[in-house]
Amino acid sequence: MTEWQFEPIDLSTNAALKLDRLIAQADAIISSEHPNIDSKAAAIELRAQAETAKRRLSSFSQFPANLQNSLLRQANFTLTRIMELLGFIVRSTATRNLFELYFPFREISQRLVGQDVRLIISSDWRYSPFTYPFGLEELPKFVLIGLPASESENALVFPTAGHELGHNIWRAKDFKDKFQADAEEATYQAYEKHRASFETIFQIRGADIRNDMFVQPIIYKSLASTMRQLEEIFCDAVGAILFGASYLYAFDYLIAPTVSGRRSGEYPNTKTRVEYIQKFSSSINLAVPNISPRFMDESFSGIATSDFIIQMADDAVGQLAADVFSAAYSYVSRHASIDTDLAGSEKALSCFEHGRPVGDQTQLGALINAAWAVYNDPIKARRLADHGVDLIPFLTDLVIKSAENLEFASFRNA
Amino acid sequence: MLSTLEVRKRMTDNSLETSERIVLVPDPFEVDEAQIGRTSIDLRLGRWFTLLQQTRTSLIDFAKPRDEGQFSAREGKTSFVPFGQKFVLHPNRFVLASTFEWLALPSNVAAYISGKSALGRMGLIIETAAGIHPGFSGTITLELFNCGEVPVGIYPGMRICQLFFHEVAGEKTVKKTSFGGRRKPAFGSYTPDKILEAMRPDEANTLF
Repeated sequence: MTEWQFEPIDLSTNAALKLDRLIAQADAIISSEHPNIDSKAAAIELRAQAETAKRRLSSFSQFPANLQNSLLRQANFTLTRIMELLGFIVRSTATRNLFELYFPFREISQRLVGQDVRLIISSDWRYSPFTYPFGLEELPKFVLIGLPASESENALVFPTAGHELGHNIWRAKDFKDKFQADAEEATYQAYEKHRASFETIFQIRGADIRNDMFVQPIIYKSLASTMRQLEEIFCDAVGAILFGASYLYAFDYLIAPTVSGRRSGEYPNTKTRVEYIQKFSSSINLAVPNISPRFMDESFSGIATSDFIIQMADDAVGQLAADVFSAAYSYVSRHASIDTDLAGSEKALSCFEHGRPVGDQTQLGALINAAWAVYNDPIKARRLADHGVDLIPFLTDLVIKSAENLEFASFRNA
Repeated sequence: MLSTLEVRKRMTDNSLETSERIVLVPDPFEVDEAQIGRTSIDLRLGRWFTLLQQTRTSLIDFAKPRDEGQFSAREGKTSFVPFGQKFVLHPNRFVLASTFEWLALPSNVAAYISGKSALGRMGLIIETAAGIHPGFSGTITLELFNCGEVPVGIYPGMRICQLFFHEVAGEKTVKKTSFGGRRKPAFGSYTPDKILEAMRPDEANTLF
């Protein structure tokens, strides 16, 4: 029987080699085609971090064993994180992306998150739009938004990026802290209101809900769900305020009647979310369609304790949703001078229905609203289709060629 | 041929229906008066470029029909060049580009696109299929070819070609499928004509 000779290369050499290989890949990404400066800047920043991790390994042998292990663990962690982010960057450079929307959306992002933020929008192989938490250790000044690759050439669903931007605002501007105390109070009130059910389901009799040490962990699970749900409502509000009706149409297009059909504590019931958006939008004179009947209620798990925890969060969220929406509106309108009637939609609509882009500099939201107005109108849609065009790609082109004017004008005004 | 004053009138005359106006977005009359000649308007280069993937394309047989979507997905390679960056076109290389401006023509106006002499003299050919039919709406696909001896650097947003407008005399008809343009350059679909079809032997009787 062959006896394998195993003289292992030491772990620090392997770690340095792995980082070298990552740096080589980062170099390839840096030197490839970038549609905008931010994706390249991010790749350069990540490469520098890989270099730093490699430099730390150069005096590896001088450290005690426990620190050596820590260094090796850090190197592996760096590799894992940077690989994931480089992948995101690479996908943001694929030509299926709507690169032309980057400029106007970056302007919006800078007004709402911070003048020095950078933006990367990727089309990713995940159906649900997503964002990385703002303030990532690796890329602290980057807003990173992923939209579904299958819809990457569809400008009509772009308003969902407004929701994802909302998560960045929520975090960057500490909205969580602003609502924490109210959410706590609302959650306690929900438990007090439903004390009888609580006592039956958890078999805890006569406990002081606000102080009992055995009750607090249960309530804190609800509170976590309340906070997550409030964040989602805040983000829906940002999407609706920035993009008007088109946010709801995009939401409807991607999600109706439901995706999973099951409730999670992370999100409100999808139908309820839509109802919140409709209700609060009308309170600020934002015209949105009544699409809630197109959604179904999502079912609970059937596990009484888990379901009750979510139901209490739902109750607390119901108490605060209006305040959250109002806070989002107040913040966005103060910083982004948003016109809630999305002036320009009418003109954009009259251009789009005749297959022409808009010459004026028109808000992105107004343009996408006009595109949805054509898409949703069978007569207008048919009239365009009769000219031999594929409707969504053609409307996307009209939105983009109109939006491009904002960027082009920035050079004229320079 | 229409003077540019007349073109301007037909772009801005509010008494005309939207579909009966000439549209150029962005409007060259507002962007830069240097784009406006007596009878021509300069258009700018867009940001998308499409090349044939030479590693995949073995033969483009004009006796066979071609579907735009399938052909582009299989044979095309698309690049996006941001403003301020250049695309280098090497000698004897060919690339599709598009105008930055979106053009829409009413049913009574046709247009012709032509290169600019300052670029042509350096070997840059802009367009070979220059006619634009009434009712067209879209960016204009440019067929860029460097027939010179040195590489040329071209920049999105630069003035690349010029457009002449003509009144259509006689009865005006617009084909229903006339919105030919997209924002990205396209190879376009292709259908061999019936005479060519009739001339073609079947595979078994092919001489060559």
